[in-house]
Amino acid sequence: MSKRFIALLIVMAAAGLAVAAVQLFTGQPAKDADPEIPAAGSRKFEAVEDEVRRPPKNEPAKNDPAAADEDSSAPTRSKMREEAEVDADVLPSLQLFANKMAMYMEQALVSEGAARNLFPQLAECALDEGDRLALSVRATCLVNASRLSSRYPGSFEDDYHSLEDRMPQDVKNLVNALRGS
Amino acid sequence: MLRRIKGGNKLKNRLSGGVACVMTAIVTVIAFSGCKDPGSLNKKVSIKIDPAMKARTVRILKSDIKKMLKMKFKDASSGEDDVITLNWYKKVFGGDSAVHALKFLDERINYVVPDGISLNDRVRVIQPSLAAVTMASNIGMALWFLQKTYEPKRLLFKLGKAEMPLESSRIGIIKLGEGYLLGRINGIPLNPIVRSGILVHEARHSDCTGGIWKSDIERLKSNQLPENKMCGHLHVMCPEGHTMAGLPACDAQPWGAYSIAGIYYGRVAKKCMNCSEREKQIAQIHALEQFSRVMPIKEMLDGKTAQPDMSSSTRVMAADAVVELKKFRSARKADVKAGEIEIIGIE
Repeated sequence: MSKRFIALLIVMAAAGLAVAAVQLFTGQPAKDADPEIPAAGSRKFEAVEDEVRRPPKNEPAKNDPAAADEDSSAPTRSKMREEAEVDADVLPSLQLFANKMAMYMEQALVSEGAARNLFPQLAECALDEGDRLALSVRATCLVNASRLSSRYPGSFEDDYHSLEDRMPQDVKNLVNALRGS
Repeated sequence: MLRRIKGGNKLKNRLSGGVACVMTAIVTVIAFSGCKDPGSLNKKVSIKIDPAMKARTVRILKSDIKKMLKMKFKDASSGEDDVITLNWYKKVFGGDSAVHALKFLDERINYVVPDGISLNDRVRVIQPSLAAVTMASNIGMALWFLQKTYEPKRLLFKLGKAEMPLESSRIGIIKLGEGYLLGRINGIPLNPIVRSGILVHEARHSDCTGGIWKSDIERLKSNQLPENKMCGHLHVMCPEGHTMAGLPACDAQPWGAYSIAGIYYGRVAKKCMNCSEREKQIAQIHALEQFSRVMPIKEMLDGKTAQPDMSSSTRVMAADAVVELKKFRSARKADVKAGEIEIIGIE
């Protein structure tokens, strides 16, 4: 075996060791290996979530739900239909509405004052006297009103039952299906 | 890598068996230009990703699977609502945990391909009618229908170096749309709960419940949609008065893709212990929206429909035989109710 060949082997071994050392210290797998999924809550996992939230370079971030108050009111049937014509199974306005609703519900579930502000709005949404909202939107408002009623029975139980009595059967069916899941 | 692909060994044997003459009869559906092996999504699932898939999308998919693995559900009987305890989730997914929903996915989704691949163009060369088959993004089902119209010729689906025969609707090839690829629609980022629900919905389209009707194969050959919606759980046009009226975004049958996804979202909304309020609200409104697309929802609630059949069949049935079988079964049920027949044991 020539000296040149032995030297080449040493260089290759050193290069391999260097790669292994880099992987050891950075915790990153080799480029072509299947990377493990980062643990939820870890910085890596958050990075993935941030990447999903971050708009592609050529797209403005104005529609980010965190900053989009104007887009978070209850989506109308016409808005939902417009979205469904693009993709029937993905309606972004539903998600925006749910985001906003979560914020209100989080407050209302810990503060009766906040619940007092929210309950009439939920009732208005559930009843939808203007006939603008889809059944699913009305049903989600009814379910949330029910949760507030369970949380503060002394304050909302009667109002909730009266609301429930006024709901059409189609909305009640959806709520029952949700409970049946 | 081939060993990890369902049916891979069977194919390998077939190809190495030297059946060269058969090869002339095989039409290969070339879906991928790359020669790399398909990538694995997660150790717990056997879903394979097309090599052409962008790294960003792979990360999104992985985080969605991770989310499903991490969700913990409360005991089904411990609800704040004691109104109804139908427990549809258990009936559909075979258990009460989120892992059961993942298992459901794993059985029905085997390959994930990106939207950018011009699969339709390539398939259209073989069968122009395919574009008329509307079934969201479960192209595996469409390709299996195509296979049925081509028999006895065989179609192969190429994924990297491997070639898969389209032997069943459970081939499970899902094409992800642009929204999934980018993780956002109209600039709005989609929550992992929504994305996982989309996969559950698509997975149900892999089931050909009760088999395919012979008459539907003829219909497909003449560019018509199948009459039997249970095979592939095909959607129908929403009726007049529905928000989605005139769009193929409703189910005429119980336990279709909208029902199953609704049940998944519903369980997340009602029972997920380690989900945020935001995730629960998102799951809740999506459950309600999915259920609003199920025409026989009232019948399901009233227990007037059969129990969910989560099986899938490759049988070819004559339509009139199916109708006769249904008549026979309902007549027997009526007889049993009337007390005229005592059933000792069925199936």
